[in-house]
Parts: sequence; structure tokens; C-alpha cells
Amino acid sequence: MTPEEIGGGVVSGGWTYVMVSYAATWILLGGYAVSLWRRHLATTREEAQGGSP
Amino acid sequence: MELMRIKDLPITADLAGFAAVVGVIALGAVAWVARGGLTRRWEHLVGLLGLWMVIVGQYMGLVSSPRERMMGEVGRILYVHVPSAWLTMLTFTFTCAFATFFLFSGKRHWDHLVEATAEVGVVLSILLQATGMLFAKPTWGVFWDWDPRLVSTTVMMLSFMGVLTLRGLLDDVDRRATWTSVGSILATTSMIVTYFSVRWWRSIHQMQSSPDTVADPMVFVLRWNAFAFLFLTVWFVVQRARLSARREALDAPPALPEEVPA
Repeated sequence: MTPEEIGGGVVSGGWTYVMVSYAATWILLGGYAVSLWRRHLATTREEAQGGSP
Repeated sequence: MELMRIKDLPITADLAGFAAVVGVIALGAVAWVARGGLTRRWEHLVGLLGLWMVIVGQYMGLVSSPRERMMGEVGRILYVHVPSAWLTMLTFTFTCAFATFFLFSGKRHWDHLVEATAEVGVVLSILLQATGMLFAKPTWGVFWDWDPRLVSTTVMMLSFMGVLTLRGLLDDVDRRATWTSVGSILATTSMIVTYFSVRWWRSIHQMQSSPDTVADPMVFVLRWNAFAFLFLTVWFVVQRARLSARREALDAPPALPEEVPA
């Protein structure tokens, strides 16, 4: 980043926030996919047992 | 490296009309897929396509897209924050539409879609809030401010969480479906307030952008990520609606034996 950019108020750095944002995306969307898969598995087990316990 | 700047311009009537047409087509497509319009293999291909597009989109967002003129590298958060905002709004709009369809028709599959879209919308709104806070800290200096856009987004998220909580408290299937639909339509008012909050009040959050106000290389990456999130969202909604139908069938009381003639 040039001194002119810094003097002009351009936000410097911030890679940590960028990486945490992208990681949060994977954690949330991946976590939700896993949660859906586990609930489908549990439902399949219950169906095999013939209904809710 | 070319530097970019995002400006604020009002949304034109053409853009609003285009968005309405795309929204109606997307609404029909989601309902069609969720009602078994595609085989399971094709459904999962939609999900895999979304996953692949997210991977490529994140690479473009992190590596190949240009640095934003004023926000620097932090501007790369746009590529996850903006698609999550668009998809949150779209998903909650679908919740309202499916809730209306249920109240008029009483058909169960609309109720399953209401539950599915509300839940997926809440997940997306959590992502929206998280990336928004991470965006705010380096650009505004704070993670949170009592700003109209931030407060109304939180109210919207909590409203739909409340609808899902209410749904979980009701045992009777018909009452549960009706109250979920009514609650979803009421919660949608918070979404409308969220959308217009940056126009109605003085907000530190920028107004909505359009392709005319964003540099072309950034528009392409934004669109790519939006479609990636859209495909993933469709896959989530279809899987969640199927789960809802399976749970309802499983929890239904056994049918009464037919009357035996004397």
C-alpha cells in the first residue's frame, strides 16, 4: 500500500478479518449440512424401528 | 493492480422488475424441486454444483479479484457478506410466499417448505451477521453499532427464530402449520423494514448497490458467489423440506382401525 493510499484513508491490512469471514462461511454452511445429514440418519433409524420411541 | 470503488445509486425500475421476475422464477423452481421435480441424483448434483462454485468463488474472492479502492483487502469480505444478505432476503421471501400458499390451500407440502426456508434463512442470517460484524470492525472501527440496518437485521433474524421456536412448542400438526405460516408472514414485515432501513433512516451502512455502481471484475465475482450460495440454498431447502415431511409421517399417530360391521 502506498503512503498516498494510507493518507487517503484506505483501510490497511485486515487479512485476519477476511480469513475469519471465509472460515465462518465454511463452518456455518458445512455445519448445517452435517446437521441435516445427521437428522436424516436419525429419522431413517426411527423409520426402521417402526416409529418414534 | 486496478483499484475499484463502490458508489451508491438508487435501484431503477428496470432493475426492480428484473429482480421480481427472477424471484418468481426462482420461487417456482424451488417449489418444483422440493415437490420431487428432480430425481435425488439431480438434487445432489445441484448441491455439488453449489459446493464447487463456492470453492471457486472463494478462490476468486481471496486471490484473483482486485483490491477495493477504499476498503483495501477487507473489501474481499463482500464476496461472502453480500451473497449471504441476498440469499437471506430471498429465502425469507420464499418463506412468506409458501406460508401464504399454505394458508390458502392447506396442503402439507407448503408447510414443509415454510419450515425449511425459515430454518435455512436463519442459518444464512447468522452468517450475514457474523460476516457483517467482521466487516464492520476494520472499516467502521466497531463490531456493532445501534444502527438502523444492523438493528433491523437482528430483529429479522430473531423474528424467524421466534417462529421456529413457536413451531417447536406446538404438538398439534394443523395448529403448528397454521401458526407457523401466520408467524412467518408477520416476521416478513421485519425483512421489509430491513431492506428499506438504509433509505428510511440515516445509517452508516451503505445503500443497496447495483451492477452499474460496482466495477465489472467485482460484479462477476459477486454474481458467481451469489449463484453458488443460491444452488447450496436450494439443496439445503429441498433436503430440509424432505426431512420435515419424513418427521411428520413418523410422528403421526397410527390410523384408527376401520369399523368392523356387526
